Amino acid sequence: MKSLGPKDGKGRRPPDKGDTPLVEIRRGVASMRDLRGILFEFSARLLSSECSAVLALIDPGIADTRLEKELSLAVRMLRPSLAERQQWAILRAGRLVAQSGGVNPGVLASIIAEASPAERTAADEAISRADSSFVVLHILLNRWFSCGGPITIRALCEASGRTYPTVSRAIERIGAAAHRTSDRQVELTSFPRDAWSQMVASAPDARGTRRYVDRSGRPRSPESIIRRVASLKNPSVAIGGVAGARHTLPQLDLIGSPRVDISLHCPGTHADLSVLEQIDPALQPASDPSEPAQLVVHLVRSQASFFTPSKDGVLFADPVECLLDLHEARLEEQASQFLDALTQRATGGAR
Amino acid sequence: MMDVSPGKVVRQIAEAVPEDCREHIVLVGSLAAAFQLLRSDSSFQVRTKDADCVISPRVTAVDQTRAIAERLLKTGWTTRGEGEFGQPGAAGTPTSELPLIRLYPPGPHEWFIEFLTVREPGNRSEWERVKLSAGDFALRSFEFSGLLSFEANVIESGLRCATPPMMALANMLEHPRIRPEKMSAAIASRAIKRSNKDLGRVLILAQLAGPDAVESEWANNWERGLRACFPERWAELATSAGQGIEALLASPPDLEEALHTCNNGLLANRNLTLEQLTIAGRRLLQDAIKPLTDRVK
Repeated sequence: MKSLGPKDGKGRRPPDKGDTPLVEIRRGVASMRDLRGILFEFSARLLSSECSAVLALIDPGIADTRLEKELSLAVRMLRPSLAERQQWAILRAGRLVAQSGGVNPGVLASIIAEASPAERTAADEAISRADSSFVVLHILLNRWFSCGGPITIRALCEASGRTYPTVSRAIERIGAAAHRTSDRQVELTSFPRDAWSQMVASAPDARGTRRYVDRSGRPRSPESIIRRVASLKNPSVAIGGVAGARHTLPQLDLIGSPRVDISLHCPGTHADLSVLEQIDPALQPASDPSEPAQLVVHLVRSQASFFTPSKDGVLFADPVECLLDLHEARLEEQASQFLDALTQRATGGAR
Repeated sequence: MMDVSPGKVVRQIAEAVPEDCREHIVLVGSLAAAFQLLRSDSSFQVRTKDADCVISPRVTAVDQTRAIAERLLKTGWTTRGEGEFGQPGAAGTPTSELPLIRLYPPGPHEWFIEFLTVREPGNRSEWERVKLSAGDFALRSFEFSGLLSFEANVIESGLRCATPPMMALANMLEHPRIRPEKMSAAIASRAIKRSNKDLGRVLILAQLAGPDAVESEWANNWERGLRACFPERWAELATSAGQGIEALLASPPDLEEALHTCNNGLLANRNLTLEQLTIAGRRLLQDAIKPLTDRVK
């Protein structure tokens, strides 16, 4: 969430004593559920204030007509003294596409400037919406590998950031391995080999894999890069690949690789890659696909990251991420070894 | 400037200097950097005109310098007579107008040895008079040259070498901004700002030391050195240490000049790119300078 001007502890701009409206900016709102939550919270805040307020939705993942309908409905549901103070604006790619009446032109100009792609840093990249089937299967597989048992569809919607119909369709695509119960729960009952093969094939696209190479002439060791990632203590970044697999199953003797894989949690419409500069300014995007990468970044697109902390607080990517990392790194033998061990754990030794 | 073998020069100095004086000599500058950081490459040659030596401690520096210089002169080393301030002074010559002690070894004049000394905290005197049989000379000190002898490495011959992090820190503190003053002599046909040469040297030291060493050691070394050499000012100096590097990275023309000096000096024939030099600077800020300043907060 971003707001204009000075912010309070929650990133909102507090109302001025004068007539300056309170502005709340939300980027990449992806579902009606999220939107309704935002509207409820936004309206509730008007109760404790006497100024007007503008809700700016930047690059939302919901169609404009549905958005306008929902926003208008929300305003109609408020009592008149609140409704007349609540305004909204929808912006896409830095352009205003719709607004309620009464938005102060100066405030609107500030919101447009904030939404402008030019305002974003070079490290802040727009990313396309991830394949929902990929995201849903990812979550179910993780659940299965960790013997988590069935999950409600509602929880799956929340974890994936997808709507109920979308999640239902994704479950259907998995096939017989996905078992739905009468109380709206679902779980995998076996390893879905076909769906997994498709997942592996589509992983580089679905995860927005980005490869980075050292341009310094003095590359850091993989251990040094891992140490630096760990020291960032960034909740959106986790260590994956061979190191992540080793963390998941320490008893496995996986032979290493000279590259480091990390997972970057970006549930919205943008990936903040500024973390790369913090890891090592020498890392630059690889221009040649055959050039060996020192660091590979994978985007985790679900609403929940499923990163797990080690005892000392270092975040590691989930087993599915690590397994996909091994495949992408062409470490097929290690991937097979890791998958076997995960499957054995999930089935209690029975194959 | 000539391409010389660092190992050969160090050996030549060690052989010429009396054994009991060697521990007072700290090799600094490009020769010391190349000797320590490029030793694995036996064919490596450094492009330099001089071998800078800091004599420490300050209290005995004049006597030590006299003893060393007289010994060198007796064994065929000669004073460097050319250029401004080339000739030795007399008793009446003001100290600040005396030539520095610069001696060529016997044989072709490929390089010369130059003597400097450390400066004690609070001492503002930049010049000390050294009376030699050849005339009067000056021994110069810089404000931060005391750092160069801090934890200097003792090498096989008994001489000492300033450590790369201390050479880097002394240069950074000497240049908190890019000053307009140019070097007295052109470097590969170009007039270069002294600040760009010295701050470029900092980046090269970091590049040659490698990112892992810089990250794990330099901030610690710097803090120890500052606390020991400047107990009253260490925090203030730590806070401002990175200003010159930040200024260099923010100025493409100055950075390009720094690159020119690197590729025509310590890194001759290696052709470092501007991108690599920039990365070395950004890494240094992140891995050593910021951790140092964070310790003051």
